[in-house]
Amino acid sequence: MGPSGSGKTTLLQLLSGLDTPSAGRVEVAGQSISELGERERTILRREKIGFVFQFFNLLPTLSVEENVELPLRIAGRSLKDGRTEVERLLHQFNLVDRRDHLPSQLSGGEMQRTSLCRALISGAPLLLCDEPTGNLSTKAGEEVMRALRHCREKEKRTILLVTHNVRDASFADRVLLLKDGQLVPDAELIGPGLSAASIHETLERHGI
Amino acid sequence: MLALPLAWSALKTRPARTFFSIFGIALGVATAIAILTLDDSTVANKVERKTETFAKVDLEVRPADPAMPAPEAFSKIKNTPGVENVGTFLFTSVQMRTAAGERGFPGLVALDVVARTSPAFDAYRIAKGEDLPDVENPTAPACLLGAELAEQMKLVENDKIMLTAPRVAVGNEKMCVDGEWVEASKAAPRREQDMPPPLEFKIDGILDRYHLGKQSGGSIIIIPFSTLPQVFGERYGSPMFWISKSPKVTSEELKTALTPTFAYNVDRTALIGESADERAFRNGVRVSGVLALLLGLFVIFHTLSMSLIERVREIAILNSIGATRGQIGMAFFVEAIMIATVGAGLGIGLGLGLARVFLLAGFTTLGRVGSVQAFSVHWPPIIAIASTGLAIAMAGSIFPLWKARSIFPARVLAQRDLGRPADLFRGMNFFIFTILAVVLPILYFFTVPILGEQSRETARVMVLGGMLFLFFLAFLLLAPKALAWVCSKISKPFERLMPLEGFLSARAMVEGIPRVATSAAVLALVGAALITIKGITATLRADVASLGETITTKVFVGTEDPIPRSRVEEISKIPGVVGFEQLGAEINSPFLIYGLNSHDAGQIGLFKDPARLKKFEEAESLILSTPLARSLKIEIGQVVPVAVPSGPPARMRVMGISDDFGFFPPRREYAIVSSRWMKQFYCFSQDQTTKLAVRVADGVDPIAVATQIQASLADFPKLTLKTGISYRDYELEDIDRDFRLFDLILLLVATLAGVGVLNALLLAAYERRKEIGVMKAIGMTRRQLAGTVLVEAATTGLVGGAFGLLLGLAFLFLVTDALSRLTGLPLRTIIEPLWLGTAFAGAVALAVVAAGFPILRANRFNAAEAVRYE
Ligand SMILES: Nc1ncnc2c1ncn2[C@@H]1O[C@H](COP(=O)(O)OP(=O)(O)O)[C@@H](O)[C@H]1O
Ligand SMILES: [Mg+2]
Repeated sequence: MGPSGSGKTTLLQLLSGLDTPSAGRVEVAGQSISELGERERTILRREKIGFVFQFFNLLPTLSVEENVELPLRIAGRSLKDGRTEVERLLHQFNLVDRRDHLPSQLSGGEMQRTSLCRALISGAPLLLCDEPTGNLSTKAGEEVMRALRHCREKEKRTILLVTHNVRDASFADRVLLLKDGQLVPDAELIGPGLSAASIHETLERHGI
Repeated sequence: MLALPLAWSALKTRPARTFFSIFGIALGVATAIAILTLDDSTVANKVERKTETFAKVDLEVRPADPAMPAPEAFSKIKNTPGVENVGTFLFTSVQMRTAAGERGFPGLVALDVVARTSPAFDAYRIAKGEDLPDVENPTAPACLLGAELAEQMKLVENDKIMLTAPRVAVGNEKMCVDGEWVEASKAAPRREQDMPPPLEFKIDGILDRYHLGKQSGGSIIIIPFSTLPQVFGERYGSPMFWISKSPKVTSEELKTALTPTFAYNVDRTALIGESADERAFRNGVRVSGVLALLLGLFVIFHTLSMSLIERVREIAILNSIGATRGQIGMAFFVEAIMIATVGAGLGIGLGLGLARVFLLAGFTTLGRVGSVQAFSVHWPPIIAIASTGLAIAMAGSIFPLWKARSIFPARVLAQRDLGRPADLFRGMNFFIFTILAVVLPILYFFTVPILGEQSRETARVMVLGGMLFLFFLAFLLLAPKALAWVCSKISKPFERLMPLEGFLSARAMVEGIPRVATSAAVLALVGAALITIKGITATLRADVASLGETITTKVFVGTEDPIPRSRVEEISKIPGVVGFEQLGAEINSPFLIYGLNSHDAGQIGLFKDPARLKKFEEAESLILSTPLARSLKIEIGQVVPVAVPSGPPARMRVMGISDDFGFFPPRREYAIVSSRWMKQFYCFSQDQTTKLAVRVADGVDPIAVATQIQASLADFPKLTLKTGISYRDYELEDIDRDFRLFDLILLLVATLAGVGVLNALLLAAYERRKEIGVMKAIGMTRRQLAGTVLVEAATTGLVGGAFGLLLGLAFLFLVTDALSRLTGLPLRTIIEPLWLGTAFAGAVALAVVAAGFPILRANRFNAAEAVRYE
């Protein structure tokens, strides 16, 4: 968590190799990203990282199902083999009757759930979520958070979540604070079972 | 003023788009202007050379029957359709005496009032003094003097001179009567007392050294035609008539209408580049001009419309912070004006430069020649072409704005997906179609009219070609569903090979079908142009090659001095020689006629039949070459009057149409008569022949025979020897050389098409900037991205290539059919698979190459940026 402009998105982009640090090293899943070439970073991202954006970033010309399948195509995997996984995710996230719709025909929550399916389909162990509820109504945001919790508990994925919402953060095992591009020392909260109130209090204490 | 900075920053922040748009319009305008200027300069250059010491006469004719009275001849010409102006003209020499008693013998030109004053003839200019009065019968005899004559004789305006008919020794004049030279005095006695006394003329003015003023080295006098009898008596000889042609008829139609009552002088015509084949060539160049302009404007049109769609969000934001639609529209309009003005300006400069370079390199619209220095620039059509470019650029920016008026900023700004208002495209292709396929050609051909547009053939080919073109464009541009279906079929194999790339590009093409359509149309046009031009070249080559069959067994011998019969007989004894044709020519009667001794020629073709041979010798008969028969529209059995100097015209019956005999390079329009008639009418003996065509037996090497002929005629100065084979090869090369201009134009047009496709792909990439970023973020590699763009380019190329093949073949048949009707050559359309393949592969290759730059650009899009913001 952190105020606007504190470097949350930048951090996620560094971790995914979309951006490169001017100093320091980035290690993901035991691999030093900084030492990888552009192509290797792309492959790493493809295999190890799923991305969920605040603004969904679905491809407008592809249907829900096609958006979800896209990472399989990019990885050159057969759609037949990935079929069951696609079906499972669509079921899981309640998108079955939306599968042939275009993104412009979906509600915000549906779009973000589609985006989540897209991030999960390749089986990446790490999910990077940049304010996934920031653009959603409270109700839709809750749906997405439920889905994310499911990912953590049932699918055993690691999730790095950026959020402004104290309630969302309370699901986390660890909460870290960012300010002016730096981790705020002594502000780390360790879960599970964090209360919204304690997070709120920490934020207040650090003037966020 | 909001518009200017907005427009400027839009141009600055997209340097590639700005560059390629300007480049596109500049190259299109440049090509059209270069072609126009090239053609103007070519014709001006030739006309200037031809009319240097003469007037600008479209056609100079005289009655085939010298006995026809001048007034009758005049009114007959006047009433011939297609004759705009007729002037009467006579050129002779006169004896003059100055007041100081000095004598001279200058050239004399008598002109009637039309010949003197019509700007169509532009006969002379006055340097000092005044012109002759504008009346047919001036009250007092007056004249104009050439500058050199005036200087030499120290005469100035208003001086007086005496003119009188030259008192030549009458007995020296000879005339051909029934094959004998007789003294003219005996043929038509002329007595000293018939001659009028010397007549006093006042000098009204001195001529400029221009046209007639240069005749006889400037030692020339011009008098009104009506005073001629006062100097020469009634027997001053038969006048010539100058004709200026109405633009409503072609020069062939005019000649056909005048023949055979009148004979025309082939050396005196300013109808440069107006014969059928020249016209066809020049019209071909003009049509390629519209193609270039069309492609150039397509580039800018497309750029402007697409960039607007790409910037819908920008418009929405501007709108939401209070910029009115008028202000936003103004910004786009100003941007369009800036691009178009710079492009059109550069285009004018580049076009003139190109024309100059082409001319200096010897490329003209009348074929390849040596370096041409002449450079004639006609500003009005140039400005018209450049303004057309500007106007269409404006339209390209206005249309999408008009479409965009229905965008609500809230809708665009609130869009939560990567939405783009695809419906903006709807109707755009219809607009492009109307502007580019209908309005532009009309404007262009209004500025650069097709030559001889009144001729049925040209009109037919233009109408049919135009319909084909419209039909084809309409299919590509107005039937998006059909084209999308075709594209999806074509990209299927790609999808199997490269699933991701195939899938994504198929989607992109369906989404952006108007873009694919226009790119494919552009590629198709280039492919069609290539096929048509190469097909015409091949067809003309085949025609020369077929002529080659009748001449490959011949050796053509030309000398300066006549070859005596005894020497010709020596040549006929060279082993392998089976016949020879001694060709004597009388050019003006009224077409090129050769006399032929049929017994020498060998038993070939028509002469295999003894009855025909007898008829050729004994009846007054003619054999016409195929092109002559076609161009005069004369058929076998028809009677043609042939001018004879000593009396009424001979009436010759056409007994055959054949190219077997009488051909001597390079003229293919001629007739042959028996040498007997040449002797009878013109006292022309075969001994006076300087042209000899020797026929060798099949299987004998003509070069070996030529070598022996050379040895046998070694004592003749300026001996030229040419085998039929080498002549044919030269002609073939000549066609290739002439058509190299089209290669250059094709190159320009292909470049333009490449820029068009490049621009479309680039804009599409910009438009999908965000999607591309997202896909990179979720793991798409550079190679996959490149593959996606390449598959789209290749599919576009394949569609364009296929349509190009169809359109090109259709055009080719149309054009060669028209050409064969126009030129009188029996052309058979030749299709070379090589060029079909080249056109098809070229379209694909061009599209793929054009994809290179957009791929580089797209790969540089910053994924981190793209996914960060909405
Ligand atoms: N550690 C850092 N070092 C340098 N610049 C940083 C750092 N963190 C963030 N920034 C800069 O701050 C700006 C805002 O960062 P961003 O990641 O978008 O913030 P947030 O997502 O938290 O709102 C970016 O332009 C980024 O370049
Ligand atoms: Mg952020």
